[in-house]
Amino acid sequence: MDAIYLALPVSLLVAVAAVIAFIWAARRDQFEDLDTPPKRMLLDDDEPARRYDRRP
Amino acid sequence: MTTLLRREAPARPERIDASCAHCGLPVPAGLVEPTESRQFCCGGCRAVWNTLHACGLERYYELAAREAELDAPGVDASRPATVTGRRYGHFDRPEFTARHVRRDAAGRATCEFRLDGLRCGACVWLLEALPRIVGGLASVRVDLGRSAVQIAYDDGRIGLGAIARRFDALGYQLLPLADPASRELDRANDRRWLVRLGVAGAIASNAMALAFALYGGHFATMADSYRLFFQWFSVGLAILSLAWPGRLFFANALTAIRTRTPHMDLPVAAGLAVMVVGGLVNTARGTGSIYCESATMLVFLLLVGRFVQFRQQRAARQRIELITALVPAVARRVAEDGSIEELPIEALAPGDRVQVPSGESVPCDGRLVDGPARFDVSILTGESKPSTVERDGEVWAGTRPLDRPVEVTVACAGAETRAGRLAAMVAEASSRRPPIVELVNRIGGWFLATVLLLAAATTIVWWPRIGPDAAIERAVALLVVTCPCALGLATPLAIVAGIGKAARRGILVKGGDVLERLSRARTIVLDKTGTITEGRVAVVERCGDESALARAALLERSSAHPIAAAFVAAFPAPDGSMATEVEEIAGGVRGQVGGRRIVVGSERLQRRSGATVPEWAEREAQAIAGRGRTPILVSLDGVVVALAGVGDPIRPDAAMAIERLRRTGLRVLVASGDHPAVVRAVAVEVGVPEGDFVGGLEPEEKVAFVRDRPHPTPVVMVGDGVNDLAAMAAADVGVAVRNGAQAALSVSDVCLAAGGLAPLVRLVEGSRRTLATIRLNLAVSVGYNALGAVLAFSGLINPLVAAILMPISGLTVTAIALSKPRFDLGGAPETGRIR
Repeated sequence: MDAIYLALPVSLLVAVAAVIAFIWAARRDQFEDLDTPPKRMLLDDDEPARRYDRRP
Repeated sequence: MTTLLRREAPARPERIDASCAHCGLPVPAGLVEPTESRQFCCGGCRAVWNTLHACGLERYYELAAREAELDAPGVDASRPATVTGRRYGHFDRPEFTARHVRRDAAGRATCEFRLDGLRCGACVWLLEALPRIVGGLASVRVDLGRSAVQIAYDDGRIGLGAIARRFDALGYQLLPLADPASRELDRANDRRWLVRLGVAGAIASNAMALAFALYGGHFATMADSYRLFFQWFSVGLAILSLAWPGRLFFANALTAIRTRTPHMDLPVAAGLAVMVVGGLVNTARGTGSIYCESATMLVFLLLVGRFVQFRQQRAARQRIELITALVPAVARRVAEDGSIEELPIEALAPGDRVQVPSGESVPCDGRLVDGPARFDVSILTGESKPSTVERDGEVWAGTRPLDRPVEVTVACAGAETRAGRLAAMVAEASSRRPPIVELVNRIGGWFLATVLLLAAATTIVWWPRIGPDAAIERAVALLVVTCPCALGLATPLAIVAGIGKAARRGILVKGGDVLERLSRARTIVLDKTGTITEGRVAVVERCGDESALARAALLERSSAHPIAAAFVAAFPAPDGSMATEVEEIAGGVRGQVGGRRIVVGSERLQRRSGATVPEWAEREAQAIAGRGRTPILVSLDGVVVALAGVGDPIRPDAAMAIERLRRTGLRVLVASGDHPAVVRAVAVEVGVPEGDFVGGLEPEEKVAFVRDRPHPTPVVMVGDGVNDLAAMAAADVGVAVRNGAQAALSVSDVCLAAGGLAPLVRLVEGSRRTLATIRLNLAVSVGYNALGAVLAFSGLINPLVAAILMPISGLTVTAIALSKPRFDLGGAPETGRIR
């Protein structure tokens, strides 16, 4: 049963890691817009980063 | 000559000045066909050119040339955009960029706009691909949810005006944010709230896990060392929860004490403090219970409620931006010498003269320099009929001249205009509306205090009789079984279920408090045009010779007048006949059909053109006018033989809906900006009694009508147009009907996406059912807690049983919430769907 002395702090550490990840995401505006990114995922991005300037 | 050219061509290709007829690129020398008038750089271009011409789409080249010319680098961005003719010159003015443009870490200029015309994921693709073809544009990020776009660009290579023109060419209009600085603030606030919620939720769930271990241990005689170890961690978590996300409640409580105003956070803070301090003391003493999981859970649930409120307030603020966007931000000032200069409306001074192209909104309030002119004033009055303004007559910002460009002397611009004041009224009315305190907040504090008192009483009462250990066990069972989970779930679950079910019926409800206010509503005010009626012109009644009416429709076919369109829609054309010598005259049309002379128009026109108007027709015409419609007479060879009443048709379900609303105990009133006689006619037809309708109301008077009349409150306002906005905001609940103005949809609390007034009945009845569900849920959870408390007090359940029973109340409440509220009308087939 003494394992509990280790298991409890470890489980809390896991929780702390999750909270830190959440705060990291929130501060980087990951929850700012929940509608567009799922659509953006479907857009093609295989186009090379080429720029077409307007024709003369 | 031909052979000469052919021989020379390969030798000096640079002299051949051929460019591709399709794409405009230089044609490689080897491909030049000297005999052809058109040159192509490749087979593909030739194929496209041939296809376009075969389909008769040569105009493509004309448009492409115009666009190329207008959008070429260095072209003045103040010229009207190619597609819409809108002007973006003021986007490049230093005062505009100073206000809207920021620098990001990479030194690029960034700015944010609201975007009009955004529809779906394909728009995201189109706009975000723009940097590939527009030099200088670094990135475009679209936010579908807020209809906003973030643009990063290199301001050395391209200006904001040019970017706006590119968006315009694709059919999107960039709308400047009213207050760019507040946006950054909102973002920071959002982040803070998310972190708060996340931390509170994580702590609450971990504290709950620890608590379950403790309940279990309590029953299975857990060793003290383990128990204390768990307790110390729980107490630590609870202190963290209060000190970080829960600090908000203590800050509010302190302010309440300092300003001596009662605030619901006062009992909340006190209860939380007692719980955690009690837990700390008991843990330090080594005996007794801790209440940490309840405290952390309460912090989390209360924060969720606050967060929802915060978001609603912000949404209300953003709505205002849309209204101010109705008035153009830029004006065309006419200088002394007649030249025209574009400048932002802030720079306008009273007495300036501005020019307004036909079809564009007037940027200021003022007087018409040259008159008369017809204006579309629907933004202010809601009436689609144009109104004529005489020379020197008053014109208002947001109205639009219809037939010709006009010049206006500025009286005021911006916030002082009538449209500006209207926007201010909407803002003021939205903020005045008292926010409904979420039930869980109202009850939360008192609930805590009661539970703690009960637990203390249990200990005190039983200690002398059964000893400290047994007494404390009963107190613990009581604390466990009365965990506020069910109470916290009761309201939000029922509301979420209600909103979801309403949405499936095409009723979009923006927030739970709306349902609560709706269920208590005692008065409902309906706008006439576009709400009770359909808001369009149609033939509503007819009498006399049907075939004459059909011939009249034939005649009207050539006219663009709305009344003519109504005729054409109402009467099928007779076979084989043709209208000849059609001539539009003031007040009607005349011509020949099948060899007979026919005149369609007002009674005055008939008399003027020499037709006899029989007595019955005269009587009918008066009756039609008395019902608030325009009588249109049809004469054949100089005798009036038929009449039609043209007006705004009443929605077919209006009378039924109003009757049903009245049966639910609501007082139904009609308020309209239309002529009182017309309002009376419509009100009588849908069964609204004398005294319950008013006509001729200006938007400002509508607000007063909704706010100040001594009718029973709360009041629901139902409307469709910009002229109803302020009234909708001033009412306790604003409802926008289908096809209403965009601004109306955004200011309203509820949008009816399904057509007609039947959804309104569904909404009112559904909101009542939702509230009944909430009450049932609260009764169940309070009753459950009371029963549990009694059982625990009398020692009939121990902490472990209590821990097993605790989630059952939450499950019961969930089941009730999901099964109960309905938004249908007793089995009627549903047609409404969300767009």
